[in-house]
Amino acid sequence: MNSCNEWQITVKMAQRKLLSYSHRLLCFSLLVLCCLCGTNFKMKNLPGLKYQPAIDALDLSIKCPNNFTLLKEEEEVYRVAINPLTHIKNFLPNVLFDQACGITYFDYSKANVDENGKCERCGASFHKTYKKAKSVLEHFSRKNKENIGYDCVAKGTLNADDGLVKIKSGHITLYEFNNGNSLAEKFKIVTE
Amino acid sequence: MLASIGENISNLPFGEMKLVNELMSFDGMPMLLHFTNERGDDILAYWVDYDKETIRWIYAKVTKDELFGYLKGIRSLERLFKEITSEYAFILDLTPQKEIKQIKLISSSLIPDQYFAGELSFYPDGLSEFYLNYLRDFEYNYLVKERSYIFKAEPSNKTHGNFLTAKEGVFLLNSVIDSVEGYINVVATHKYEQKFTNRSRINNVVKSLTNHLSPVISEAGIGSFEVWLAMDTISLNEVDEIGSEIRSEIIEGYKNDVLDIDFTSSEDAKIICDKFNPIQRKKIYEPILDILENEKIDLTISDKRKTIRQIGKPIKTNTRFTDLVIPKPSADEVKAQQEINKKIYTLFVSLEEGADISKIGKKELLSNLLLFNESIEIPYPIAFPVILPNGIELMLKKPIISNVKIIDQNKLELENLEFNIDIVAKDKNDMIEKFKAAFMNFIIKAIGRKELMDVKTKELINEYIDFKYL
Repeated sequence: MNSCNEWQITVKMAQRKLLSYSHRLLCFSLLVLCCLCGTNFKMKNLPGLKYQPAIDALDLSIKCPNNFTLLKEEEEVYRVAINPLTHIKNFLPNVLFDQACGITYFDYSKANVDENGKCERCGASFHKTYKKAKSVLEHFSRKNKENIGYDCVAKGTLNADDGLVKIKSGHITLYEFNNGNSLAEKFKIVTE
Repeated sequence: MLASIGENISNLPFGEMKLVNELMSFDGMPMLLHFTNERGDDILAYWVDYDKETIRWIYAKVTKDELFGYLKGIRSLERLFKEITSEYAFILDLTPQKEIKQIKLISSSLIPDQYFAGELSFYPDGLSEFYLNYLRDFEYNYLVKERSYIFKAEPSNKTHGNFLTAKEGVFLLNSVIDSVEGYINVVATHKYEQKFTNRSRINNVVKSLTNHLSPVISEAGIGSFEVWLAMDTISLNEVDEIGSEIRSEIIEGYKNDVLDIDFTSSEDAKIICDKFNPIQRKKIYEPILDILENEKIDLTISDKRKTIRQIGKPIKTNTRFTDLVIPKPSADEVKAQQEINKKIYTLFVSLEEGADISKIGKKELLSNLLLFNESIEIPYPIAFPVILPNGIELMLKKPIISNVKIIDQNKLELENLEFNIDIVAKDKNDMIEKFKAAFMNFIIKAIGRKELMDVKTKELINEYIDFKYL
């Protein structure tokens, strides 16, 4: 008799536990859904990308940009540039910069070139430190500097209004928004 | 794009190359690559030029020294290629599809200026853990070189052009070694005297330290007598705290106290005299002054980091400086020095029993000489009557033999390892009295803990005093 009661109590406790888990699972699912909706809503309100046609022209099989984020805070960044900063080749995504400078180094036409690599070249490059940007500038051979036109380091800040970013060990790739802002106005030449 | 120069070749001569690392890139495109091959060569590939049809790279073999210098941020990429030791470089032209168009062999000295990097093309990332391991052996060489003093001697007269005679070279090396070792000895002795009282122990530690830090040749110049001497503090295993202190201070100390001295300045001479006593000064400065006073040699001293005051100029001295630092001894001091310099000889001579040694002539002595030994340390037997605390007086069973040597200022040092006695005495009688006192002290202490005495000590005492009387 006693053992039968104990069994009933154990079953009831198990049922309660299951109910508790189901309840938690339901709450969690709702939360995820809300977040997703929020994100979608937020993403839907983002401006389009300034250089979307360049991305489309590559006809990539993957979504580009991918694995991006928005800067939470203003970030101080540096990049090699051409003086004056209003020069048409400054702040271009790498794919357009390569075209503008006649650099055939990166073979965009080759089918077997990594599609993620191609996608990354649809953004513009920035460094987190002056030292790194200056070092890149100094590492160009004099001839390549002349070929490309780079002659200074520019410093500025980026924030969430500027575009989507991919951050990788001291390097930021920016997919600029088409919002009428001019990056050249946010930067100044700092080469010592 | 610059016109192509050099001789056409069909392949790069490095064999199968393996990419070690991408050292520098531009927006994701490699600019500078490090390769190695089966022979363990290090090869750098540097993107130098392009146009719509061609991408141009320069390939060149670099030494570990060059690679280390670049990665450590000491040598720029510009300097690396401008002063590259490899005689040849290779210009590789690729199509945009990365197919080889042509390979040209050029003399390294003909690399176009336009293909060098900027003046400040220093590697920004420092030695990674990978390269620390890759260049581990090289880092030791580099660190020793960094700590080197550079002695460059040129002959005052040009009989043999810029060449120094080998004798003068040896003289220079010996003098510098004597001075450096003298400095280590003075500094280490001073420091250890504050920690230990046992003279023998101090001598042993200082001797071992001096041996280890005695200068090594880290590089030698070609064409004139240039030698880089370093105290290897890197591989020195610190024996204790003082050793560690010496390790961190000795190189800078020698530079400040010796190499950075103005050997013509009375003020500097006075600073030296305040810091070091005459014996210490003799050890440290006399060898260097010997070089400076040698009219056949012009000596310049520098260091890798160019921190020595007298860079580039031959060092001179004058009599006022030398007289202050190493004063000429008086007649009495010369006599006293001669006494110090006397050597002790051990002679084994075969003589008839009962022969009076004071009457043996030189000829007879030489003809009967069995063994001759020049030594600064001799075994010295001491025998004496002992009065025990219980009033018993007895002779030692046999003399106690200790090692005796003459040390600085004509003093005698006696060392007995059996009874752990180490004393310094002003003369022979003083030595014997001090030894007796130390020996009796040992015996009285031993009697005090007679019940606890170990077998070894019992046996030792019994060798000289019958244990039953204790």
